[in-house]
Amino acid sequence: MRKPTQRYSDIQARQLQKIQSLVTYASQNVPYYRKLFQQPGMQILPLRSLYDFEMLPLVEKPTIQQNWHAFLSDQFAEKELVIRFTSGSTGQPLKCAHSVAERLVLGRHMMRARMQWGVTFPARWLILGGAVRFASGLLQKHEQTMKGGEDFLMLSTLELSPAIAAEYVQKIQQFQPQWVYGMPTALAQIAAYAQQQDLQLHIPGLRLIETVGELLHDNQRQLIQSLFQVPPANQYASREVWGIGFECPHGQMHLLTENTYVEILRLDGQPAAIGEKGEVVVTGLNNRAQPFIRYRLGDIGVIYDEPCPCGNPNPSIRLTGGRVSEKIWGMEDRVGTLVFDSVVRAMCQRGLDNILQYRVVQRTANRFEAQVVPKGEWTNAHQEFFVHQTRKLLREETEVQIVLVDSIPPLPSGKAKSFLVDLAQEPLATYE
Amino acid sequence: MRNAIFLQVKEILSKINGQIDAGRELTLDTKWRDLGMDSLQTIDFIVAVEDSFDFVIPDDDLLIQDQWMKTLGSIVSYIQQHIHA
Repeated sequence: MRKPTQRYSDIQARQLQKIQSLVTYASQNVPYYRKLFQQPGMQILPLRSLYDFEMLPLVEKPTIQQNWHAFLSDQFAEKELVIRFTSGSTGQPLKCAHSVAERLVLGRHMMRARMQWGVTFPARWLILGGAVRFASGLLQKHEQTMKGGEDFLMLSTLELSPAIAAEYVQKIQQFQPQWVYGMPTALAQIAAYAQQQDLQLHIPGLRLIETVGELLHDNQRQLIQSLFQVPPANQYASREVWGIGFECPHGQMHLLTENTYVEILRLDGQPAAIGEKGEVVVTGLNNRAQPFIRYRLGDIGVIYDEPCPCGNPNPSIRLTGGRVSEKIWGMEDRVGTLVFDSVVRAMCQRGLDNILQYRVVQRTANRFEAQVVPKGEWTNAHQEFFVHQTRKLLREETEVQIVLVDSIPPLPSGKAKSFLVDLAQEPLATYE
Repeated sequence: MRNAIFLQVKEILSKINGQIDAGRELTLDTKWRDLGMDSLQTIDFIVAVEDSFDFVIPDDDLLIQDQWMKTLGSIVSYIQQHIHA
């Protein structure tokens, strides 16, 4: 069992100061924590050590979903907050609230991580994604929108094909981004289509390809680098706390220790040793409107505490498994998790936020079964929007059967996936 | 000193948003909210201030940014205090 080095211990001492401030704030202003610290045995404030901190309960996404207002700070009016929904890769979209000021702090930490790659801001920024905005019809297939339309290009990845990839390569070449941002699956798919067509990019000013939302596999890394001529850097972030880790040019994903405190817990809930695999639990050090304290993200990871040639003193994290997107069978240009995440988030943004958890199972090329755990009464409006939005993103003749259930158990692998393909009920000949 | 800082702040703003001083004169009384900067541009501004004036704005100060980012004058005062700290 390895203990943290002196360097990491020093970092943790600085993190403890921020944790003390956060927990004291939460105990005074957040109903859930105010009640918690009134319970017997919880008179532990001010916290003296990280051992004290570990007495606080772990918090899970469903707990916040079901008691949303209890996790909001009294210091903010809800209308002042910026509300966003987590991606539904686990099938449980969560409403996240941040103050405008918090977003600046969280954003500044991400910007600093990007700058180690040589990005200078304001940068010419290419996003391959924007699923919700495209799905809801707010944006067309590709659009330059921000800052007078010169510094920002967003290309939809809801639908990808060799022809679309060719069009995108041309647009990217013309745009000459300094910073590219997108999901590994989408970037690798574009790169694969480009490779098939012998298309190449020449972007001398490109500094960073930031991949988000999924693990970045070696084959994806190679494909992306072959197209862009720059190695991708994977970031580890969540919509709840934003930056958790960011890969350095030496391939280590360093923790963003000024922004997030990361614990790795063993199956028995005890802290894992350095180098030991376990569940990732995060605390957003700068979240105040809706604090996330000892929050279970559902990822599995390992922390390493070794010096890195890049000079970043922060330890690194390696994630293992989880968060992989699945393509839709028979429509290999569509990623199922992305499509249904867009459907559900579009519902939320439309004021139809009524899904506690969901999982979509593809039964045939054209038939999908959506298992939904509703938060409240499931009305025709919810039903119709879900079906309409799915058909809009897939095919008009797509059949969607919505089954309301009380809970959705994890798969045998332990993953809570929001989309999977299960064609066992249909003979294969049906699809030929 | 105050004037020099103000000139540098205006230069940063102009680099981030080329339209910012179009048709109006920026003064120390100009309100931050009237500049129409979006959140990304505001982060760009903060990072640029840190780099230009060589100091780090503490997270705790950013969490109360509405107290010192009211006007360009209050931003200049904040910078002035910190580069002399």
